Amino acid sequence: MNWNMISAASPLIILTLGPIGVMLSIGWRRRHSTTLTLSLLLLILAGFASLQAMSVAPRQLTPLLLIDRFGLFYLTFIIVLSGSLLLLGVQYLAHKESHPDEYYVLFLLATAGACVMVVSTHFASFYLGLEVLSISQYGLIAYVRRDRRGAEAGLKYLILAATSAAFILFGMALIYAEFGTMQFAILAHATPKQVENSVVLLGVAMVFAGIGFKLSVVPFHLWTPDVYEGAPIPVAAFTATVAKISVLAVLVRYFALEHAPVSQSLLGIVAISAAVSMLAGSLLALIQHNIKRLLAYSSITHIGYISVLFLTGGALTHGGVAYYLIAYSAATLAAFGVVMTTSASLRRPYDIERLEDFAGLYWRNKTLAIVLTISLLSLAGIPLTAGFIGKLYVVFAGAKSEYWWLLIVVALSSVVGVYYYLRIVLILFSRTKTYPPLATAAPVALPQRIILLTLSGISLGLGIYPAPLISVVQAIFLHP
Amino acid sequence: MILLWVLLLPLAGGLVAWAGGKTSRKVTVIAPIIALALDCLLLVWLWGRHSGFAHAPGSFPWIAEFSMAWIPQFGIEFALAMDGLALLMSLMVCTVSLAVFLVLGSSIPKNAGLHALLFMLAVTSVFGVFLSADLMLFFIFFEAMLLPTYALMIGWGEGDQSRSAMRFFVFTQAGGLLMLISIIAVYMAHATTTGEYTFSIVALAQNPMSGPLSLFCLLGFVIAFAVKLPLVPFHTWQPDAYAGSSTAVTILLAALMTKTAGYGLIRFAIPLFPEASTLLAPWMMGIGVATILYASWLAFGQSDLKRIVAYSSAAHLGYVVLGAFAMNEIGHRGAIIQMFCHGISVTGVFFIIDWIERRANTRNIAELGGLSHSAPRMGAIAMVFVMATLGLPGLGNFIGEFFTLTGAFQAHWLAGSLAATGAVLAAAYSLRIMQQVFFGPKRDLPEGHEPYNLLLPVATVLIIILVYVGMHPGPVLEAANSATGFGAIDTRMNPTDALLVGNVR
Repeated sequence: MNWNMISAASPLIILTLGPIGVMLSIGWRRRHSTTLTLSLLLLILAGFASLQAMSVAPRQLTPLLLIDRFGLFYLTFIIVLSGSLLLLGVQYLAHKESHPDEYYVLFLLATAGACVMVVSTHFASFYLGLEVLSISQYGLIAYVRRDRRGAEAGLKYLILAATSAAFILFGMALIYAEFGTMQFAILAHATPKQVENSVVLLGVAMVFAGIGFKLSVVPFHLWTPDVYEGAPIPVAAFTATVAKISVLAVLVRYFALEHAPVSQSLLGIVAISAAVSMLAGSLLALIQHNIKRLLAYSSITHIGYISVLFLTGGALTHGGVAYYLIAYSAATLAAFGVVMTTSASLRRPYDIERLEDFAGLYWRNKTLAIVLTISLLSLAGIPLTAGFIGKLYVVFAGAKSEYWWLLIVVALSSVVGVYYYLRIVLILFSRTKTYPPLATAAPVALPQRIILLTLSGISLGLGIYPAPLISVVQAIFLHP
Repeated sequence: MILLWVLLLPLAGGLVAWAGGKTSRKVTVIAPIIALALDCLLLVWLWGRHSGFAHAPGSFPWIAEFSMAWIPQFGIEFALAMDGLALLMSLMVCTVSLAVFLVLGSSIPKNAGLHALLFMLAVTSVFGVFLSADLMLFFIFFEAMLLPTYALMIGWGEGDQSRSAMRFFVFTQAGGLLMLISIIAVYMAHATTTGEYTFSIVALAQNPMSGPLSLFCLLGFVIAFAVKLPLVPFHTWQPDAYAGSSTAVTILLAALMTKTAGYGLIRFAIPLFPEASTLLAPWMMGIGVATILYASWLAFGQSDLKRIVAYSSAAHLGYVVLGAFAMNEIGHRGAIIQMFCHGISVTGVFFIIDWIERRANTRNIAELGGLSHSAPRMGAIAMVFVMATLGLPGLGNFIGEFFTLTGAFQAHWLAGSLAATGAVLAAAYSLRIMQQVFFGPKRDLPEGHEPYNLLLPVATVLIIILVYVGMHPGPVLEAANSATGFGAIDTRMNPTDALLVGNVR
């Protein structure tokens, strides 16, 4: 192991040693601000480490991990998201728990798990990352002990995620039984005959079912609204963004392999599950009165859109998924950010989450209302927001692979989406006589305000002038 | 570069109005007026510079162009271009929005700065639609006008507008998304045949699509435009939206936004899919005729003035579809002139309705009567606009309808004759307005407000434009002519047409 390899592995090293350090520091001095600062510093350090690792990439570390620019891109992305989430949730956590220090340990561990997944090239490392992520998430979701819904959500997630992990394990075993290897790259050179083998197909199907649970693709989506509703809001946001991004990055690796054993039947299943996710997500979102559940269904719909991107493979899949995920994460994070800052500033025992609680938010707190509006418009895919460019990629992919019926479904579900996102915007700007709980909303603290405004800026900026980011994601595809 | 100015001047005016509106009320009126007046001058100057609109057959007769890279990876350019058609439409938009600010600008009840900004954002997007030479840029402008309009409808409408505004938004968005899929299908098809990824309409129209897929793509475009015009099965959002909005927003919807759809048909849908258009033409003409007859019929049954005009407006835009899908040059010219004149005349009509509402506190024609006794001059002006609506010779709308009907007769005698009966229905509902509102015995009406200061002069200017186009349509025809130099339509004129066009020139 030479210096370059250490340099390449440094983000992972920091992220795995970091939580231990934070844990020790909690034992020495239990103070929220110290733990927070330490965790943030770690994430910043890891972020810089992954940026400098770009210079030594690509580098294979053992058969398990490949540090290439593709992986580092997603690594940096995840780290930035986690950092923003930590900072956004500070007041909320302080309000929910008097000593939320272990939360940060779990959070960093979950981030480390997600990061391992995006650089994995082997089923073993993929599974390790997935489990580190999931097990930390159990704790995070049920973190607020006084909250019954949190406990319920944690248990639900525990059972379903464990089941899905079992599926993945068994699927991996079946694939191994046929090929004798667990490396993605060797799987790629499988002959069509091997791939169409029923044992392999069963294995692939089981792995995909497990991944479907993680991504909350219909019909594996049932946990999503309950977990989003019950979990602390930053954790819900983490589940909606980081947890999904890591799994999707692995899928992109798989689908973008040059001779990936992607059979037509598999693509058909992807198309059908995409269509069902879009429709179910958007139709169920119509009847929600709780913004967290609404965002849960909206995330199901967006996973449906992203699935369309997998139908083509190559540059469109690579660039499209990366672009879509950035647009989606910026908007989702901002939306959850607004919900958590209002909940934290009101200091109620419950979260501010019913849609009618947000009535007239614009007339009380313009920043929050505008941030939420922009993120909802971006999620709806209105032109000149980042979400529109994401949708453009989706339509490109659908048109290139000639799934016209799927594009009609995309259009239908987007129209429904426009309706339920705009409904919220309307509520934000409505002039009611009695401003419900938000009447006393305190101003947002500066760091949170900066993050929220930056996220809105990203949603708008990437919609108005997307060319630079498109170049970046294309470059990563061409020179991984 | 000039085109960029044309596009950005209204936006700048809106921004200044918004920024200055917090301190001074006057800025919210004057800034948009100055911006739009400058824009008008620019357009007139452009027209003067390029008299003749000569161009090689089969090419796009651009008189000004501007382009810069926007999303080069997808072949999307920020490309603007103007020909006679775009010039006519831009001039109409400029005149109408200038008239709106002159007459109504000082009467916005609240947040006048924001109102001006949103209005100008919508106007900028309408300009963008007319000037885009890139299909994706066109789509983005086509969609970008929705959000400001939606906000205007909700923020400054009458009572609770959220339902009808939402219906408007969802309907148009649905159409827009189908069009997006079509646009991308065209783009992909072009890339597979030529290997070039581009949204440039010049490139796309030179290599038009054919085959069954092109029919579906055309349908995507047509549905988007049918919602916006609106055509008959898609018109249900329109009367509520018109009736519930403030007059300025109603004019925005009726005079400006509908034209983007008509323009889209002539500029994009038909040239991009010549084969499919020919195939679909009889059906579209049928829908156009159905819209003319059905909307006129409905207009006759309404009692709210705004709803009458909403349906009559739909009927008039039925002529645009009829002319566009007659697939001959004379029909196209008719459609273009119809759009131009409808924009001007419907604005005048809505000014009159606004005046009536302020004067009598009602728009219900059953409660009105004898307004001419107290306001003879307004009665006279109303008379001219109503006559324009029913297509009286001598006013611009007549030229539009006449050419459209001539084109339609050539395509199919039945379409032409059925559409012609629409003119009778138009006379019926238009004259009903005049009789019930302005003539008849004087009624005791509650004391309302005075008309706006500038209503009379502005209405007079609009009338002058209509009379000019009606009496001397040569220049407008020439400008309209330059739009139809390519692809699908039959540019050979039979001798009578040539004689006709020659005479009116």
